[in-house]
Amino acid sequence: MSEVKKASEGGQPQFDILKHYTNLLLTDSEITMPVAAIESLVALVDACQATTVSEFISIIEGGSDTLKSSVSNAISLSAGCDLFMRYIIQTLGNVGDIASCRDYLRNNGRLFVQRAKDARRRIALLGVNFVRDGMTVLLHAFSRVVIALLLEAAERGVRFKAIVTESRPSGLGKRAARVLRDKGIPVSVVSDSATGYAMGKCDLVLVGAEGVVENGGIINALGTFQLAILARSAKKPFYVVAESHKFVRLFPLSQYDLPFDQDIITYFTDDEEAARVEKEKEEKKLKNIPEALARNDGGIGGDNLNRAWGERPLVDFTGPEFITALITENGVLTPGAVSEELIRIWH
Amino acid sequence: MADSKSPPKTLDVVVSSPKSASSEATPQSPANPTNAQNKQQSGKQKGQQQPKAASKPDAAAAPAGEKKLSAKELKEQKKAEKQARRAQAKGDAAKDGGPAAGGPEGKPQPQQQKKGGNAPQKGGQNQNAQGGQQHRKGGHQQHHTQGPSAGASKTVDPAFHHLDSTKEVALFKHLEDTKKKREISDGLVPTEGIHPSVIALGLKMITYDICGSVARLVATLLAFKQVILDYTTPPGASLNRDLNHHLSPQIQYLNAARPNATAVRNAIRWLKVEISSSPIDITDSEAKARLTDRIDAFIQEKVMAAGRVIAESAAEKIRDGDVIVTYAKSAVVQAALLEAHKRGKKFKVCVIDSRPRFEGRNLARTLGTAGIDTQYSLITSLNYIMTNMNVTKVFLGAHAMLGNGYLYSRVGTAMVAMMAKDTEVPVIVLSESIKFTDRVQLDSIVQNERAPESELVISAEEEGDASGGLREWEKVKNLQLLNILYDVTPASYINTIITEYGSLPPSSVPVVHRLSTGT
Repeated sequence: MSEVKKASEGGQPQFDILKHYTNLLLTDSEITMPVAAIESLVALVDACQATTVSEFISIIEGGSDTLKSSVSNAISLSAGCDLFMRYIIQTLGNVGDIASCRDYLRNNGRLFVQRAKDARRRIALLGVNFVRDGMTVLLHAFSRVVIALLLEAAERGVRFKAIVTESRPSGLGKRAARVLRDKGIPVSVVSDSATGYAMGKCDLVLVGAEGVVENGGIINALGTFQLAILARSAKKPFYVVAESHKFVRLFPLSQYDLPFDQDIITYFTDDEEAARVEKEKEEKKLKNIPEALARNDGGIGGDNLNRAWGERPLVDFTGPEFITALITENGVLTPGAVSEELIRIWH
Repeated sequence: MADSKSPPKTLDVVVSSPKSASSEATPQSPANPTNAQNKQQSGKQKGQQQPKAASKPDAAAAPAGEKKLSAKELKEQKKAEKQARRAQAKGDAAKDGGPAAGGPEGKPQPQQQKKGGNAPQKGGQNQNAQGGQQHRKGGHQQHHTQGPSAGASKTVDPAFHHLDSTKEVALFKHLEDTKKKREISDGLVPTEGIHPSVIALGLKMITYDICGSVARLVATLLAFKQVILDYTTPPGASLNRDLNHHLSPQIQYLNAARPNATAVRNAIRWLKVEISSSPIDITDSEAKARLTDRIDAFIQEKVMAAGRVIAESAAEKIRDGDVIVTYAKSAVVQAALLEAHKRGKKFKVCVIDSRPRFEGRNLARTLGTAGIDTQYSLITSLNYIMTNMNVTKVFLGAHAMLGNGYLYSRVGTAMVAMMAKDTEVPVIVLSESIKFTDRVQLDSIVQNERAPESELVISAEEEGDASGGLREWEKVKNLQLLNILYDVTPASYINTIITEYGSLPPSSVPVVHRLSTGT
């Protein structure tokens, strides 16, 4: 926040929102992209010297666009940005003049961020009852809110086991396992190809979400879709744990109807060429992360580092028909209720 | 909106139509009502029919002076007809439609036949094909006597008879039959107190000149605008109370012409609230100006702007290489496809159509003319298209979106949606929120609209087949025709509904309905 102050004190309108956002992600391993985005926008409001409403809005919009274009798939990030934009416009409508609106936003923007951060805690409290003694939970990838929920359960003395899929290509399952094992929870990491095999041994499936879309489906780490299908066919409950600031106004009709392209299916007729392309991709990825930062990784999650530099995990889309319920800070919702919640927020 | 006529044009018709309608309908001859109907249904028949009608004794008997019946006379006439109808119904029940027709009808028949001579034979068939005769209750005995226009009777106008009860599909008997429509198109419904623009609109709705719920909504509001402009508050009454009473018969008239579409009903509900909330301390002309302004704003906001927003967001959904199936014709689907084309998207459209309305023909032509790769097929080829043409999306229009997320639309829509669901193709419904209702319907039976059965019959000329087909289907004892206009598509077949509020799953219909009506 120091540089924000500097910017406003010096009367310098140039506030590097991207830098601020990146710093947030790098310094706080617990922060998620939408919250970091909202926080950056609040800082931008702070720094903003605009004197007219339209100037003000265009500055904020510009900042939100900068953030969105900085990452290759901006699902959760844009959810956060859009939500805050909406909040600003509503505030402008209620307050009227620009000066008092900015004051209002300065004071309430922090509250807004705080509420978004508190959401995880509230979800943990709401969802903790879904995990009971003797259960085995199947997890996918690494979701902070799912982990928070499970740690809350462990705290309360619930004895449960967890099966975590490796979640390739990101490999985040291992990270989830490390965090859970630290708290004494028995965790088994299985390869993604063993998901079907492991399904019979679990009692419920818990996944997080990059974004929750309008029909109640989710966009989440690659492999969630197949997990959902397997859970459905094994008749296991499939719960999504997500904060409501991840609700996004998007309505994908299929896997391929997402607003960005993913490099998942690539055809080769030549083994060597395939290997070469693979290697190039890896090199490019490494080049994107400055060496200094890579060395400084320390306790910061590798995924956050990647996120900060625009490298995003691959995702797929899971339709609402596979989801038993969504555990949010506003209650446990059926997929159908997501749309109502979104309409409530937006109109 | 493309279908709706501009207001001045409506007015044009207003001047001429009530007169012509009544002049056609006044004579008691049976030939004339059918004639009137024929005229609306097919222009080319007109010339053929008119001279014949003139040659008929009944028509000749109808004095020219009678042409302009006063309202009172019309009323009396209608009363008499009603009585006669009742009597007939009783008689019918007793004699079970046998050849022993007897009664008042027995006598005139031979006479009619004789007078008709040779000429009516062909004309009669035409009439039949055009849907004149099957309305006649006396159907049985007439056909036994081979009288082509045998419905002629001095006492009862056969055009008013219900279809013989055995000629109606039992499951759909509760629906308003097409009788009232005929009465209106024949000008036999008293029109005193009905504004000419409303009458013109009713007639246009019956002939499907104004078709599609949004077009009907716009036309209705424009007609009501005219009604409001021509209204003067009677002494001792206030506009915000009396105008609604004044509108009621107009609404009823339209409802009789065709059951009011959900969109129309929503708009009327809005208009009534708007009228009754007129401030009392302003003058009539101020209040009228306020109302007409509000109507214009309503059309702008709920129809024009909404349609544009929907077309734009639907166009965004279209990607290069898409093959899009659409059924029949929806104005907003057409707008969306044209918008996508305008944005340079490369896609193919497959227009699925069906008898008897063939609404997709115009859509196919419009799209093709605009430069979109378009294929036109009938619904019979649906399976081939869905399984072999790599269809990527199905776009459907709506007549109404029901409270349970079900789609109420042109009959055949459910079949397309079901087929799409079966082949895992996403079904996208495009609908303005004005079409949303909190009414819930689980099947297509409880509420629907019956169109004239005659529309299903293919005339001899078209078919080129001297005998057979459905012509003179009334004569086939156990044969019934059913021509319903709508069906209900379950919510589970629908992926998303694009409205001006954004894309929704079907389960959010009631939320948006509440939102858009402000309740």
